[in-house]
Amino acid sequence: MTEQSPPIAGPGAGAASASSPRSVNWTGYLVQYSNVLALVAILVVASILSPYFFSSRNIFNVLRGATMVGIVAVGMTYVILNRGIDLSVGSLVGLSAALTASFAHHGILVAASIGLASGLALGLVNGLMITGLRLQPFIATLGMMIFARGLVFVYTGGSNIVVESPTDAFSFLGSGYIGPIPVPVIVFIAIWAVAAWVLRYTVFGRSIYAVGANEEAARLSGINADRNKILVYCISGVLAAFAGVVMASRLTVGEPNGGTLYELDAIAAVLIGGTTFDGGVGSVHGTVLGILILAFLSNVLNLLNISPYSQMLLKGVIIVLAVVVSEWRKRK
Amino acid sequence: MRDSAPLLRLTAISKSFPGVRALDGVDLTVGAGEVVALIGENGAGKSTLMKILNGIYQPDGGEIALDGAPVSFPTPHAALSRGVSMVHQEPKLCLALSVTENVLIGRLPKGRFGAIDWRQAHERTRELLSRVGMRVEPTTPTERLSIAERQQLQIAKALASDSRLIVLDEPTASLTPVEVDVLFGIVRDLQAGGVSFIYISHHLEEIFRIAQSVSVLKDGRKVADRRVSETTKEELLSLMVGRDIGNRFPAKGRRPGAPALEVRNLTGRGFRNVSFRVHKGEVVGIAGLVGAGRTELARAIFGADPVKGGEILVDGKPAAIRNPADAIRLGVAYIAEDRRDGLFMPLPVRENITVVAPEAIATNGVIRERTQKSIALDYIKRLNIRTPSGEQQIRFLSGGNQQKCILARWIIKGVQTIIFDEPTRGIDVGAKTEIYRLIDQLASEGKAVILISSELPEILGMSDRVLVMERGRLSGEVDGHEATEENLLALALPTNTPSHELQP
Repeated sequence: MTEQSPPIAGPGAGAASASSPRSVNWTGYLVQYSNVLALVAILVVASILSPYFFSSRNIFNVLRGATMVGIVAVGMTYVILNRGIDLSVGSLVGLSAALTASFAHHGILVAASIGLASGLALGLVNGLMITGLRLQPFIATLGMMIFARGLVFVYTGGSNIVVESPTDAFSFLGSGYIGPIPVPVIVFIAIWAVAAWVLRYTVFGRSIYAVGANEEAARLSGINADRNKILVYCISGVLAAFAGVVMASRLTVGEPNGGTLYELDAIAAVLIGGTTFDGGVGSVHGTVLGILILAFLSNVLNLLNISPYSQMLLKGVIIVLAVVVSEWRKRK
Repeated sequence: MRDSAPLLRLTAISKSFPGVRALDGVDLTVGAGEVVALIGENGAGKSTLMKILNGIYQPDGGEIALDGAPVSFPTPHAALSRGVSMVHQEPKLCLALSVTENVLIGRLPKGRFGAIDWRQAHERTRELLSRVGMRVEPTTPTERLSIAERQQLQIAKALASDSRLIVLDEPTASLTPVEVDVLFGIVRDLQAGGVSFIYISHHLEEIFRIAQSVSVLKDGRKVADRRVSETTKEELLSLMVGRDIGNRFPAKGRRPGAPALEVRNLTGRGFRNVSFRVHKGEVVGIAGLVGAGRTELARAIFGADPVKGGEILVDGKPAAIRNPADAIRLGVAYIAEDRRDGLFMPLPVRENITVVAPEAIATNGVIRERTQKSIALDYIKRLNIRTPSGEQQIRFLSGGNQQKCILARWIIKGVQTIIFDEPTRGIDVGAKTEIYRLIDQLASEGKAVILISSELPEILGMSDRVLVMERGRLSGEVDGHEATEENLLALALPTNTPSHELQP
């Protein structure tokens, strides 16, 4: 019997049959599809209701407004895929923005580096608390959320840090344009592309899914799950800090309350995008869709003169519905 | 209610899922106080049928009758209220709550002001526990109970709702032989009191001990009903797979080579002073009772749990194994006892197959997806893994096919030594035979194989040598040709241990 059957181990493994049939992951498509449909529906309704909506100025304004939460949400996608949560990102945005604003006179590169370093350092601490002290991510990052916000208040003394006579170079990242397109939108697209590529095409990216899907199995597969998690929280921290740099550049002010509630908006976008809290399921593309849905929805409601208070009612419903839909799809 | 009507009669039950006809006109009858065994390969429709009986699924056609009167079970609660309940393989219990709360969940007695009357609750629980032979305090947190006790608790819970028909789904999968005896005692007692059971098991020996009749499902159809007294294990096996199995185990004709893995005086949590050697091209079985320390030993060798003392040698050289990654680098693999510890459920088969071998699919950390796909497809074919494609989420595969995916992983990795821990647990007979053949083929190709199993026939059928563990120590070694169930059991049972060797 052994002679007839080809060896199951040994040379030749993997060389055979490169002809892969085109396989379609319907469940995955449907989850994404429902989000695309929602976005299209919002756009269609908007353009019918308001002639102003489809002007390029309005569209780009909306997109630019969404970039800061968007950047944070990309990092949050990594964390949630990894079966974690990062509540500290809003505070990290605020800290980085305050630092960037206060070092603005050294030039944007120095200022931004200091801002980014703060995010990396505190993200690293998050990761170490979760892996070293075995704290639940919710608890570790809740502590960090409060601690980092405290840092911002201590550092700023509770008042705005205003950038004196900001240079064009300083404002370029947040307020500049390349052609008709705002710079932050371009930057966001670049981050999106890199983040999605890393997730899909690198061993590190696949490990994020593996650890999120089953940490014990990942460990037994030789994956260093702790290192993987630490890296993920570092990335989340750096991206949050980068959003803070964009914020400082755009507003030329470091506000002590900057970035407040960003963590919740980012989590909402990730959930609407079909990434689940169970880990191992989801994508950055979904999160970008979630960001666009939330941004255009509130734009439409603004154009229709619906008060921000009523808007919150609708957003709450949409977040829950989105999760219901993705759970329902998953069960099928 | 006519006296002649059986307790339960299922008639022509059918159920389809998209693309699958799970059940096709299945009949089943259970008399009062009878134990009916339900057997069939995985995917034969046993669990679908039981889910219909318990109101979890609705049948597409057919009739359920209790005491001769048609009933319908739109919800599990409806089934429960008519006295039909199920003891799940993986008990669904609230581990943080007390035994009482789990037994009487949903029916805790109310006292004044609607508050729970705890004294009455504990009393009632104590009485129910004694009916299933349990002597734990009702206030004990459920998480302190062993797996066996949790199963007994589930039966007590079924009795609390006056169940007349209890479905036992693979109840002995994680029990020791002694615990199995206790369980069977409980079943016989309750049976004498008129309670009926449907007993699902892959262990045919058990069916002959506990059931009066047996129904065989195959591909969604019922292929046979037999009185247990009028059938044999061989007949049931061939009914389940639809053919004569002949010899389930491949012939042993292997020639062991150089030592691949050796442990000297290895000590850790759950085992101590264990020394043995495994050669290339050899299958070494490790037998023992559940809890003898076999899994703990395997996990420690693999670096999944810490070692307290002793040495591990790979290819004759001392090896420093501090984590699984170290072990894998040295060519040692471990296939976990609980299959879920090895699977990434939401990820596609392709990812699950290639996860341990990034070097085979990636350059500088960047994955070549085409290579990854073709490797996955290649091994899906080589190991005859039944999946619609490499993109299918692995959670949709049957247990046997999942196990083959895990095995494929380590073959791609090219490891030298593979430790199998209960590789065929919960897997149907056909897939078992395939796994045996794969293990044999790996050994014939020069791999060193350690096979941990609680199924003695499996150990006897596969091993060139058998090591026996008993309460954390190696109690003996038997040549594969001389091993019998009797001499292995004699070494595995605690009574044979001279007391001076029990010192820690």
